[in-house]
Amino acid sequence: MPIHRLTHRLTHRSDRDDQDDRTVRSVLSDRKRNAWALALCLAAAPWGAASAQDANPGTVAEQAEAGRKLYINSCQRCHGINLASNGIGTDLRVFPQAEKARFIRSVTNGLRAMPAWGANLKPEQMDLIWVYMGSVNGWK
Amino acid sequence: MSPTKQGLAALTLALATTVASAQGLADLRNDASTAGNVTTYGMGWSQQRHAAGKQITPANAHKLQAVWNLSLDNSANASSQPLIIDGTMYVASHTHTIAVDALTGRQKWKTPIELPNDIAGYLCCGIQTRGFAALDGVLYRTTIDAHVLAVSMADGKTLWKQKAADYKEGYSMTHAPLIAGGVLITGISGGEYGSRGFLNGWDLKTGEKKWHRWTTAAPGEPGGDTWKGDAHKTGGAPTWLTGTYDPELDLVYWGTGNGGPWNAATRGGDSLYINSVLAIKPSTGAIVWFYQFSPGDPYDYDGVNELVLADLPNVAGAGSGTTKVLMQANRNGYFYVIDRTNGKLISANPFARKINWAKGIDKATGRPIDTDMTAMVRKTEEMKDFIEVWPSAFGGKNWMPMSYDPTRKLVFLNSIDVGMKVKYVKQQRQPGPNWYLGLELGGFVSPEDGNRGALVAWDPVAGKPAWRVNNKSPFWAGVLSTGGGVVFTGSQSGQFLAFDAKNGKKLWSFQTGSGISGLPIAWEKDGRQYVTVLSGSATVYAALAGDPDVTNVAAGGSVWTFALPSGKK
Repeated sequence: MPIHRLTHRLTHRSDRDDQDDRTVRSVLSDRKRNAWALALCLAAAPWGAASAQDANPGTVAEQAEAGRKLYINSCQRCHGINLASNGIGTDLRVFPQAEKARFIRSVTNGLRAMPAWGANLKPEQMDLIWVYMGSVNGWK
Repeated sequence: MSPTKQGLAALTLALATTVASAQGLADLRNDASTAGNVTTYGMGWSQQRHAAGKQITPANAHKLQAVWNLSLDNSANASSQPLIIDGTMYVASHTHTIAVDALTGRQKWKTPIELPNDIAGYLCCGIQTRGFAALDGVLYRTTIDAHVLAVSMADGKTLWKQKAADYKEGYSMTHAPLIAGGVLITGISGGEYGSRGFLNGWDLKTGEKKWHRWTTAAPGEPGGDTWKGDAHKTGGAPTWLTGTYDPELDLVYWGTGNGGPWNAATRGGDSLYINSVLAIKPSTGAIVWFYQFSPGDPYDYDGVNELVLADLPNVAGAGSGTTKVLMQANRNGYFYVIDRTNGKLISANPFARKINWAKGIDKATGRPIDTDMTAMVRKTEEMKDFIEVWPSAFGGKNWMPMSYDPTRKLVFLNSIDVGMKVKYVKQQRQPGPNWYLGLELGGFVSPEDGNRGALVAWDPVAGKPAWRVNNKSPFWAGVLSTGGGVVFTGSQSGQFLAFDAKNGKKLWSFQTGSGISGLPIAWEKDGRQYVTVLSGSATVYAALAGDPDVTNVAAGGSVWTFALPSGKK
């Protein structure tokens, strides 16, 4: 489901009692909810969101939405709508969750067809895009 | 370049000046009728992309075979049209200029283009370099970081290099320059970055800038009141494809692209001269007339598609004789025939299968008749929900040029039949390589029958198709037609294809190593007709359209040349 629909749905889910849990539910399928809740309970950052949370206050969903906006303006034209691309850019739907350092390195310095974004995107913005990727890919 | 290489280059240049081609302006003017050479982008100033040679026919096309293949060592779009001058083929990629022996495919020289490492972020829609202008032993090309380059045909040495714009302001260049009236003319890309479009005229010998023409109108100028406030300063109207030239009228026809941002309510008014054709004097850049295809456009219906020149009978009514026209299959889905002496609209008929943004084009005013949806979009800067627009921002046809067979009086074009979901939002322009569209794309929509494109033979006099061959995925390649009655183009999955001009029957195909986004040409040598095309695609369509039939296409550019066995019929 496109992330814009998910965030839209989120605004109608005020019946939830726990703020963080509600945010998580909005971007995750049922199947993945438990792992998420656990991750947040431990205050450990799934897919490296800790640094993003440090630099970018707000819920994970808010960070994902901020990351989505950056993605639309900077990344989408090669990597596709909702990360779904057949051409130009690496398929970010299969980018390994464990390799954030490689992601940051490629975005910063460029790699083959990928331009260097280091002069144009701040590290915390790259973190937000990483959070957005995780929200689309359902990273645990 | 190393000192050794520089010395070698200088020596080669010295030797070469004595054997340099005597190719001149007359050769450019007659390009369409000189079978041995292809000296212009478009195979003639009229950009008809038609070769008169008749050796390859529907009866023998199935015997076509590959003569040679050359790697471009490049994974961007190989959407370039080669030139052939005195037995040498010249190929442009975004990283190199390459000379090839046309008969054997052996590389003669290859010189690099130095580029900044963040440049690809400024290319909205894939990296590409579409070709050259050429005259008197010199190739003229653009670079994706917005420079214009004169290159010696003898050895690839740069003769002069001029900066057209600062790429960090959102500018780039991907098109082939045009030589017209003794002036080198170039446009500019960057309509997705809130840049302001322009055209330049350059001195062929020295590279001195002779004139500069903005393509958005400032307050106080004619059309300046068609923008809100200072919106024209970031208003787009990029000139990102090559114009055509009528040497008798001494007029250059150059199309302009979308407004910046795409959000029409942000810009206000018609936003002159976005989505238009400008008829300009090549010596000064002065606008003689203009016609705006899509006033105040909100849908990215660029007017840059090739403006093919032809002399058509009875288009202005029965018995009206021959009219000098220009033809464009516009992104907005309508096929336009315009009197090129004065800019008057002759006809505008729908060639796209589904159009929901307009009910038609009013022939008296030349303006589109809005549907309720478009009337709403024009005044809505911020929307809650996505709307579905046909054709999509890819257009009923994108940049891949059509051909025109002046004998059969038929146009052959690759159409695109997809819709888009779009939602308009207010957006601040950000500096750097960030899109400035004022909207969100929600995805692209296939037609019910799943055919997202077609090869169409279009009768520009009757204003309707002669035949149409539907495809699952649109062809993203140029079209070539020949006197033998064969139409060539290529698929995004890499097949180079030949069709019968009479009825669209597929005659032959050959699987190349990547998708085809190149512009095929036909040429002759020693009685043999050759067809050359570049394979290699990394298109914006593949990136954005979500087309399930354009998957698993390998990147990697190369040049292919085909002919009948030993030229036999």
